[in-house]
Amino acid sequence: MKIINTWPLKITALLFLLVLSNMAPVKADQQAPMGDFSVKAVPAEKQIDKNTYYFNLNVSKPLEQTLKVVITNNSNHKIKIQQNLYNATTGDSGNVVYGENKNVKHNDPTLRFPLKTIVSLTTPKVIEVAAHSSATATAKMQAKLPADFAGMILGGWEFVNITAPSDTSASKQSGVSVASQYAYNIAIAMVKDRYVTPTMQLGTIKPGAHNYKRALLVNLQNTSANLIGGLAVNATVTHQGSSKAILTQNDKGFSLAPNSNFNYGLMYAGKDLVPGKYHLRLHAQSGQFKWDFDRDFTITASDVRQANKAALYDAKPGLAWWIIVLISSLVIVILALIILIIVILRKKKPVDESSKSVE
Amino acid sequence: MFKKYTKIILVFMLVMGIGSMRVAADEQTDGSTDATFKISGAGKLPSGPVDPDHPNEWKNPEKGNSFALMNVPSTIDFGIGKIVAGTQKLTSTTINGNGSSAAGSAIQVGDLRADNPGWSLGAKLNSEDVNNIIITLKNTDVKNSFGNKVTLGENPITTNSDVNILSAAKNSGLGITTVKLTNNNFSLTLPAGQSKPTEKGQITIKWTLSANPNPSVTNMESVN
Repeated sequence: MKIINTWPLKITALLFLLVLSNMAPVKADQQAPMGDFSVKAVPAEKQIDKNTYYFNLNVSKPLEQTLKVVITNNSNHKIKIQQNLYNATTGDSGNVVYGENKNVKHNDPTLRFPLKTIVSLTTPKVIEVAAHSSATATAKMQAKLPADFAGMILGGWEFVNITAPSDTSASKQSGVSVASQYAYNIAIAMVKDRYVTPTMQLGTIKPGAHNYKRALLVNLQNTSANLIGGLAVNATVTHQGSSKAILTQNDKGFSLAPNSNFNYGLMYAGKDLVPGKYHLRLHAQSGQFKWDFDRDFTITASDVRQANKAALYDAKPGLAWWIIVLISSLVIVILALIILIIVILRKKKPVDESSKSVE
Repeated sequence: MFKKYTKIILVFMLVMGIGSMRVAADEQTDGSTDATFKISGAGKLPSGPVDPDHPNEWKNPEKGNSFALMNVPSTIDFGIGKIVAGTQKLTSTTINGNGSSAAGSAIQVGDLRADNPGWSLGAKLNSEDVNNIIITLKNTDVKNSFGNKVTLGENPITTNSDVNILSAAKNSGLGITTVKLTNNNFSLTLPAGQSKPTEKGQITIKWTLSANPNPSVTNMESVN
């Protein structure tokens, strides 16, 4: 009796499994958008935390190993994936950039061991992955860091789908059209000994443009080999010797790459940029770490001209109030003069005519 | 004995019946993305976008290690610029998606990674001929199928470097995150003198999904 009772259950389970496994491929064949690929880091040896999904390596002792990323193509056509390695930098909106950063022309002077000098790609830059299959991209890392270095080295490994879209026949319309590219970036972080105490420095202060709008550009530099996270920045600009704020701005949630710098943009937001002597007070805080900067600086007329030129998308600077007063009073004076002249001429005319008629 | 076999046969018929019905249902929806929001396997994301109006399907996804940029618009059209002396701002007229459903034009990230480490989605403009353009995403909001709080960034997208469009801190990225788009959600600013800068494909937005330390604090531990 017992056997009779469990039989149907077993068969049901078996059949269910069969049906489910048959159903899966039906779904996979459906039309796939360009984004139908994914990448996954294969956890490396010496991974500090195996579950971070990026490379997070302990390089306290010299370490040589191969890093692997599996690229999976779920679509029904061949794809081309382009790989790139980058040193981590900081973007002008206060974010760690793991890819290309055109604002960074040179490595930060405090960056001793750029990631790109430690890791190199060992598979071709462009990898083709057949439909419904996967391929492995590899990179070789050789980290042999001196005893006097401790901290983090950070970068990114980028994978961009550069496959030409299949529907090239689609309307080539005459207007402005923007296409999309799908990409992934897997961070490569190496830490020697420990995450070090973060340090920050204030660099140059100069007016310029942030996102093509007038701003005071305040260079902030992370001089430590550590990632500064959850950073809040409060900045105030006054005239020298005055306490009245001309510009104030509060930001939070910034993150700065190890040994990098960026131009923090204090926006003028419609205010005029006027030459003069100013003072900046800036407070930055990440958890228990705090920095306070106080500095006098000067804005020259040529600084203003250059900044206004760079601020492509700002309304042209407004006229100062005294210019407006001057121009309007001049206009009033001129108008008054014109009226006066007309009145004088009118008064004279009848006299002339009468004298004519007499003749 | 007779009773035993009838039972088996009945169960067999029932299972086959349900099975073939489901397969048929999937085939019917071929070409649209609606069929893809059923979970196909443990911890796996569907291929392609999920209907943003049905996030309930993903309230309790099985966790695994899937992590994907599921969808972004295929193209964004801004209409035709006029020749003007100053700068001009164009508002998008059409957002073209992948496939025919509304889900095809959404920005969508799927994350079923069991450890919920957080992620960020960056965007950068690539343009060979036109410099100094910016694209701004406006008047949208972000929804996560799990009710997680994912931050939507408002920084303009430029040719300089990635800006964060979406960021999920540690323990808040799990689920399907969707930014639903309507036709006028993007604006494009062009510098003076450039009225018609592109043919199709000359400007692209590169959308990059990143697995990275994604810090909300400064780490101070020893690793040895």
